[in-house]
This record gives sequence, C-alpha cells and structure tokens, in this order.
Amino acid sequence: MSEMERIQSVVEKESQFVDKLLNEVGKVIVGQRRMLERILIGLLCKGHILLEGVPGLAKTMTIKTFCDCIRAKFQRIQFTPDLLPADIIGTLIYDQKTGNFIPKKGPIFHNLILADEINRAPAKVQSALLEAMQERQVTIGDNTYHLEEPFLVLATQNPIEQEGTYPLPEAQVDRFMLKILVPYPKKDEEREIMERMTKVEIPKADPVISAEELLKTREVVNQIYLDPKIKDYIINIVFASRNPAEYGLKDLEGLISWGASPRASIYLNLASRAHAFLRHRGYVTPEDIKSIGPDALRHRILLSYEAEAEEITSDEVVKRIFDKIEVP
Amino acid sequence: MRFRTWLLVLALISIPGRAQQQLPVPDLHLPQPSPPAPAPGQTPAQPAASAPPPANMPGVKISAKIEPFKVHQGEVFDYLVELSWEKSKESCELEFKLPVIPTGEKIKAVGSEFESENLAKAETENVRRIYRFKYFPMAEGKQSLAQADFEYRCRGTETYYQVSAPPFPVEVLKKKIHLKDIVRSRHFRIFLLVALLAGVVSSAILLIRSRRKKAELAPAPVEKTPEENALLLLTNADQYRIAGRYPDYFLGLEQALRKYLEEKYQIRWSGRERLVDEVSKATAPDLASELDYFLKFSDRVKFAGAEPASSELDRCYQAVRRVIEFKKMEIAGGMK
Repeated sequence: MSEMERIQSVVEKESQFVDKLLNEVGKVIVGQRRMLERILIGLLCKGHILLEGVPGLAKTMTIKTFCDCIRAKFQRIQFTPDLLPADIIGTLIYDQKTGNFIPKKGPIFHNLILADEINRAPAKVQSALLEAMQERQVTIGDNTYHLEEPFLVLATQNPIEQEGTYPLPEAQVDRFMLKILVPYPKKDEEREIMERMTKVEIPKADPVISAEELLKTREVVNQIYLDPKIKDYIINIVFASRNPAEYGLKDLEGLISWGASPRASIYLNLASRAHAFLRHRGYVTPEDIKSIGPDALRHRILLSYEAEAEEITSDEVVKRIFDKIEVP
Repeated sequence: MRFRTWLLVLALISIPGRAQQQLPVPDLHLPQPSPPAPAPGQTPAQPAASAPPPANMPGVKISAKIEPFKVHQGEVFDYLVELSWEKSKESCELEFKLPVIPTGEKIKAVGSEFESENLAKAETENVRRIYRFKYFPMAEGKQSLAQADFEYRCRGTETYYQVSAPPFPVEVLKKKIHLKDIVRSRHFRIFLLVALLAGVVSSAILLIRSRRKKAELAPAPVEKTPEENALLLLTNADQYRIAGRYPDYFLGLEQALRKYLEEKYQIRWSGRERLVDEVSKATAPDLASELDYFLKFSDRVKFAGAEPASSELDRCYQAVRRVIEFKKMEIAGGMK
C-alpha cells in the first residue's frame, strides 16, 4: 500500500462522522449546509470564523447544535457598548472567607463561543477577545490559563444598523480564518423552518462525536496530501490579489488597495485540506480551493475607494481572480 | 520708339470691346494753356488762360494709363501720367508744381513716384515726366480716378499754365484668389482634413471590400465540428499515455472534454458537481455518472499521484469519448 493509499483509507475511515454530524445538525438547522461545513472546517483547522448575516438566520442555534453534537461547552456573549474585557476573560474577586483574591473565569472558558455582534463592543473588548483567540490563553491577575480545546470563536456581524458600532480593524479581521456570509434560506427551506419551529417539541440533535475524537481528526487533516501544483495555485491566487496586473487582471489594479496577507495562503492551505477531508478525500483538488477561497479571501482583500464608488464587492474581486487564474 | 508704344497703348484702350477695361479716349489737354486749378490751401496760381504763353514755351502733351491693365480688388495698381514736350535751344526751361494726387471713391492712394527722362536728338531734346500714383482698390466695381492737373511755367516767369488728364475710369475686378491665401485659410485646412478623412475612410472601405472579395473567392475553410475537434485532442493526448505521463494524459482528456462541452453545450468548466449535473441534463444520467468517475479519477492522478491501471485508463477514456459521441449515438440508435 502506497503512502497515498494509506492516507486515503485513513481519511475515509476518520471522516465517516462528518456526514453523520452534518445530518444530525441538519435535524435542527434547515439548509445552511455551507455555513455548517465552514464551522466544521474551523474546528478541524483551529481557526475562528466571522459570520455576517442579518438577525434571525439561526446563527446561535447552529453553534449551539454543533456543541450538542460534539459534546462541547457553548457560551454566547452578546457584545454591547458597555462591555468590559473582564466581562469576557474574567477577573479576580475578593474572597471574604479566605481574604484572598480568587480568579473568576469569564465566558471565554468554553469550547465554542458565539461572540454576537462583535462590532458593538469597544475596541478594548474586541482586542481582548481577539488576543485570546490568537494566543489561546488568558491571563487573569498573575496566572495564565490555557483555553480548552477545541476552542472556536464564532463572531457575528450585522451588515445593517452600522450606527454606533465599532468596526473591526483590518488587522483584527485578518485573524479570522474564514468570513462567511449567511444568506437567507430558500423558499422550501423557509417552509421547512416554519414547520419545524412551530411544533410543540423543537427537534434536538444527539451527540455524534466527542470533542477529543474531533481533536484527533485534526492530525488526519494535517496528513492530507497537497500537491505542489495546488500549492502553486494557492500562491498564484494570493499574489493575484496583490499584483493583479501581473496576472492579466489589469481592471482590478485600481480596485484593490491591499491584497491578501500571508495568513490567506496559510488558511487556504489548511482549509482546503479540511474541505478535502469533508469530501472524504486524502488529497486536495483545485475544487477545494475554489470552494473555500471566497471565504478565506473576502475579508483579507481591502478594496479602494474607487471600488466602493463602483459598488464592487470583495466577493466580485475574488471571483474575477478565480476566473482568471488557470486551474492546474 | 517709346512714344510709339504709348500711342499703341492709347489706341488699344480706346478700342471698345477689345479690352475688358472700358477706357475712354483720353481728352488730352494738349498745349492749350489753361488757368491753373487752385489747390486747397494754396495760393491760386495766376490765371494762365488770360495771358498767352510765351513764344519760347514748348507745348506739353499728356497721356495716362494704368498698370497692370486689369485691376483686381485688394491689389495695388499704378496710375501713370506722362507729360512730354520737345525742348529746343530757344525754348524755355519748364518748372512744374507738385501735383495733387488724384483721388477715387473706393480707391485709396498709397503712394506716388516721379521720374524724368531726356532724350537728346540732333537739334532738339525730348523730355518726359512720368508721374506714377499708386492705388489700392478697396471694392470691386466701376470706379473713377479724379482729373489730374499739372501746372507748369517757364523758369523766370510768374504765370503758370495747366495741363490735365481727364477723370480716368477704372473697373475693379473681383479679388484674385491666390494659392497662398487658400493654403493659409481656415476653410482650406478644414477641407483638407475632411478630404484626408474621406480618403482614409474610402481607402479602408476599398480595402475591406477587396478583402471580402478575396475571402469570397478563396475557398471557405472547412469548419470542424465540436466532436471532430474533441476527438483530435483525444488523439493528441494519447502520446502522453504511451509515454506513461499519466497526469498529462488526464489533463489532455480534460481539455478535450472542456472544449467539447463549451462548444457543443456552452457548459463552462466549473466545479465537478455542477459540471456533472449540467452534463447530466444535457446528455444522459448514465453518462454523467461515468463522467463523475472520470473527473474524480483524473484528480487522483493529477493531484495525488495515483498510478492508473489499464482498465481504469480505458474506463476514463471511454467515459470522455461517450460524452463526445453522445449525439451521434442518439441519432444512430434512437436513444433518449
């Protein structure tokens, strides 16, 4: 058995839970398959996810259901303008019995965190969360506490009602592995949602896999083969966002202020492996890159004023890049 | 000799219909001493008509002409008046007053010259005084130069005598168009530009027409069908299979299929699932499932370094070929 065949068999074996998990979540959540897959990719790649969608698209319910399915701890934090860093990471409180300060851990000490409307909190709160996301540890007083794995932050942003918000700076947005746009459900999905949610008993998902088992699959994901041709493809895409003219995309030159950072290459690499894993494949194909590309790039490409004036979105820019760059 | 020429000129201008310029026969005041015309602001000369001229005063002849013969608006012309007399040993020396420049209504005087010429003979001497007045005609049409009066006297005497050229009719012709004026004019430049553009356009039209004609005459290239193109690419890809370069071989198969689907069904090569779905709609579901197998296997060969067995190679080749030849089979076998 060749190495490739071995990886393939391992992937096929270890990825069996994926369909079960998605089906189980699907018992509660109607549609939103793309969002579910991306959350799973985030869990498999130690990445965090930024969700953008209008209220009422089952973002909270999705993450809660995921937690139920992987037996993980879930916490929702509603970000408000009066929130303090200590409200997230925790603080030291005085114990009258012992006369000492004892740490009171904040809600961040959970596996899956839903940072709801992250742009409503001031910059110091945002940076406290983003620092914890990056370091995967929190310091309270003199003690540093490691955050328990799996640790996934699912931050949401509301594209409407921008008044009184604190938009995330580009440097902080870049820390999110993927930015997912949550669309409205389709007609038949909407009907299904209506029927499910108006029953006396709201459906509930059963556990499919433990958090520990999920962590083990990360090792398998890391073994997934990425051909040099695919690596070149990733690099070409990222470089095309920085120097579009060199890749025959002269029309994009004035539209992009800043191209994707090296984090884009890293996360495209990781996310495409996880995507291949979800497809039970031991190797990455250009299709994986194409599928995950928009989610990994849309928040990393900073558009110019010219693009904004022409109402060109970063999604359109990413699409043009993918259309132009030759698939290996 | 010169006198003869003058006479000839006078004769010519006096013949009606011969020349365009209708000149009257000059009513010359031959040595009929007349009282001098008082010049404005000048003390009038003593009336000469009352006193007979001295015996030794030579008779003065007068003649006039314009140069050039045809006068055009905007072009300076000369009005020449010649006074001549024969001077002998006995005759007195003549003195002339400065003449008043004859004026015209729409003719502007721009200058005057004077020259004198003496031609000695055996006993006598012919003297000529030529007054050259320069004019600028401002408008076309029939104009007239006023009477030209010349006053003279014997040196040492008081009395002036007058000789006059009658009013001289001048027909000012239309302004002559000069090439340099045309070239300098704005209209000419616009015309030139338009002509140039017209030339370019017409030559382009001619070129296109000639090319079309050539194309019509040339035998039309035989356009290959999408099936033929795709099969040709399949044949070309076979060299890689023989050489054992399987990733390139599968790339060749994909290219053949990609070209065929685009040409035949306008299906764009997108993601595998979407492509299979579109092919399924365009052809038949069983073909689509075979295509799905081929695409998955092709990815394995290209990106996972899988070594295909000969049976797998055949299956993939047949999958592509069946999609390409689908229509033919449908017609031949009445499928679908």
